[in-house]
Amino acid sequence: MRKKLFLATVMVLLTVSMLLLNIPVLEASDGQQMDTYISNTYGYSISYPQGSRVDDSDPSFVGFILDEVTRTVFIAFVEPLSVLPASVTSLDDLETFRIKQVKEQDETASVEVISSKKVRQDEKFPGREVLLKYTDQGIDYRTDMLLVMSDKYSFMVTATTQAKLYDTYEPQFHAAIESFTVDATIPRITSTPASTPALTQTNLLRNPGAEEVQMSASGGQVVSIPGWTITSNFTTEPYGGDFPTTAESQRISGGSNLFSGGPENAMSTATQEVDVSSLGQDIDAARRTAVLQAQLAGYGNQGDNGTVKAEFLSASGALLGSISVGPVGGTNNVFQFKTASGAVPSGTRSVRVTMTSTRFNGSYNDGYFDNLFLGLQSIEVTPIPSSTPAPVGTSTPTVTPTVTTAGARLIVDSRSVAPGGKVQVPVRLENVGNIGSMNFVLTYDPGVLKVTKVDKGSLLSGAMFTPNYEDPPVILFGFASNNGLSGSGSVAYIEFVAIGSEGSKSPLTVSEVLTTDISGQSLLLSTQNGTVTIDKDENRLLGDYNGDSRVTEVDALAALRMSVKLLAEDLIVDMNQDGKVTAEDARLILKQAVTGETTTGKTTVTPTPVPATTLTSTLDEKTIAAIKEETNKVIKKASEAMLSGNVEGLLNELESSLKAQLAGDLNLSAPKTAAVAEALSNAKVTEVYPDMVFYEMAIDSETYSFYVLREGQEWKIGGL
Amino acid sequence: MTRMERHLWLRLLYVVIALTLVASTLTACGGGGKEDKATSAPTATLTSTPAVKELEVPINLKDARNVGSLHMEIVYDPAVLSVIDVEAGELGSNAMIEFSLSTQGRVKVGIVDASGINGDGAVVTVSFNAIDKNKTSQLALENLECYSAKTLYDFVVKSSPGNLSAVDGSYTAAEVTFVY
Repeated sequence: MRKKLFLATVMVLLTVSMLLLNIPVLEASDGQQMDTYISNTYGYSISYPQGSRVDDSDPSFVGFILDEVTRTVFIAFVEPLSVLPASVTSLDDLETFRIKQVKEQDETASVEVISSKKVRQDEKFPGREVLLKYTDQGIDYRTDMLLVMSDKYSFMVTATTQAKLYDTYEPQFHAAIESFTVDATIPRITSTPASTPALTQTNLLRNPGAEEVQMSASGGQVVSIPGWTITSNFTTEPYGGDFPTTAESQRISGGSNLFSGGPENAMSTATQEVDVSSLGQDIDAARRTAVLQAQLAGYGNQGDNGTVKAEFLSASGALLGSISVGPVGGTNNVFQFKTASGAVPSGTRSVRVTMTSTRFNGSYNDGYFDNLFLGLQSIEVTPIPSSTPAPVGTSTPTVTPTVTTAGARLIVDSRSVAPGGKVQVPVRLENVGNIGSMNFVLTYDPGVLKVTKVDKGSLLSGAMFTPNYEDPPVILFGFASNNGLSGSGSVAYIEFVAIGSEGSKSPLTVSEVLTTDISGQSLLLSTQNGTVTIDKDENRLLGDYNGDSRVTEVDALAALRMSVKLLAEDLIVDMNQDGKVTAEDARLILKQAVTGETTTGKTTVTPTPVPATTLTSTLDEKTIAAIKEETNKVIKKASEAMLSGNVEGLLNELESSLKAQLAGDLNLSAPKTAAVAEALSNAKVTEVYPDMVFYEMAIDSETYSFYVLREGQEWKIGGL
Repeated sequence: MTRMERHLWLRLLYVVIALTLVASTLTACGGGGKEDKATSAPTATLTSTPAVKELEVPINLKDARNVGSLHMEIVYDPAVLSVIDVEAGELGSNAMIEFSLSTQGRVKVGIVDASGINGDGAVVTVSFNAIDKNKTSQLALENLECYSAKTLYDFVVKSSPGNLSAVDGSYTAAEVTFVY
């Protein structure tokens, strides 16, 4: 009885402690990408699936929560050998001791060893892998347990899930356990780099500039490239003709040839893996910084672009981290110099460098590359030769040590949206501390999405923030704060319009992340990419206005605002299916958000009216003219209202969300009002879609874009 | 069993016990029936110990500016307290409020006010019954999500836990502070 009471107490305490971890409900892990956790306190590293919640508030007991619902969790537990019973002197003893502990502590549950085997036999600290079956209250669980003893500590790594899910998670369990590395030389990283002899300052890549190749003078052929493994039609081309000129080659010291995405393909790659195992001791002692550099270009103003990525791999080939440069495209055949740097993760034994060329226009894949450089340096870096200064937006190689911040992440959320709809995508920082500055690039598919605005997020209150989305398919972000940014919150909200067809998707990929703390020291954050999916209305979740696949209070707020015309109506929140959005729908959403109860008699996923037109329609000239005539009228009305000081009249021509934002804040007596009104009346149409028309206007030689959007039966101005 | 052994055991079964608990919770709340707030998640302990005293504690907001929606979960010790009701506080007087007691020791609260909540003060008041009159329970705030009534963008918030004494009803209010 006492034991039962004790267990009940432990259960409650554990529940509370679990809840105090603030564990969110996570999506099922995709099982593909792994991040690496490094314990500087105990000198080990382990890979875990990206997206897991890491709780390392107690460094001796680190939890990686893959899925809260099924409680699929990794645990890395460390104990000094000194606290073990004296009888535990070997791995066999440790296995016996741990299993005995488990069996003794719960007399109601059944614990059974399915298998046990020796692992890591060729490593300094061998291990024992034990598969346990645990049955409790009729539910079977599986725990994969790795036991390792170093000269100081006993390590126990457990990976647990429900037995029925074991096959699903087994590859991730296996990868994590295989990745577990004990290395007593892993130091706590400090701001002072270790003093070491001069290290490699040479380019580790073979054939980094496509000069080691035989080809015809006219080009246009797919040829093998010494040192590189190619996919699709990745090739090399001579300078000149349709490609960057020989003068451009002279400018960047590019030699005779460049790398190119090649003919007749949408995506092609060239990959080279570099063995760095001879530098293993330095790498594991955190004394190496990787520098990746390249000249990148694209044809004309097309969207075709190139990216170069360096991936750090363990001896077993596990991915430990990566850095990348690009994408760069649409540069009118002019090369741009790009550079990135980052700490080489402990355990790295090879670096895989991949050039990826992605086509957006035409038949030829016009991502261009030259003068690649990969160096693993400690103090100084020899940059690639370049006779021109680095263009704005590039950075010089870092010479400061880079610190990996456990649990700190840059996250791009995923969203779904109806065809032609608008969607706000948050970009968030999680668990950061003292960030002084940050730059990163977000790449999207301009055939699927169009950016209409980028707003500063809540975490950046008081910080300087500048986005640049003038050059699709990339958005550049930069922000800085003298006070340091800490905690979790949004750094930006990106508003996209879904211009792709139903079923299309755009990845939202983060690259070129450069982060410093307020002292200027480089920081490494893990990143999580997002996706925007243009979904059939039938597939959208009823009540989920913001498309985050949840029904929450903010969806209820949106419905309530719609009910009083402060937000454009979206029948995805018409919970009672009466054809309109009312306060009753907001009430039903709030109830579902808090209690989980769904609307009586309704399914959670339900058809909603499809917009009258889709953006994939091909418009004839007559239709385009009719649309433009209507939208021009709206712009004219807005312009006239501005000139006459008619605030209400102007607000009536704005889309509901913009109207709500500006209500009470408009000042039409400002000096620039007349200039803006004139610019508005002279705005030029740039793109026409059935439900949206994009415009550009010029004010003081600056060009500004905006759009006119169909809201119900009316056209309204937005994006100003 | 030594203290160290218990400590280790607690750690070892971190996962399994949590799994067990979740399974139990799901079973208790399953069936799809409408939740009865007054009787949800009863336990043998709760039903065998009569409720003796009603206690009220505010949940405060500090420096709220145009807050349109707020989700919070108040975590308490169910061996000490049970929740009777959640009602609007001064700042929540214009808001729609919903709450759920489907998880023992936790009350989920959703608040929506399209006109925006501003200022300092109580957004809701939680009424508890005292179960164990000899103890005090912490009132922790978790899973906070707050959004602007104007933009629907998130707010950065910090929270501080409160506590409630079942002995004499004295309390420290839990607080959500908006950071700008």
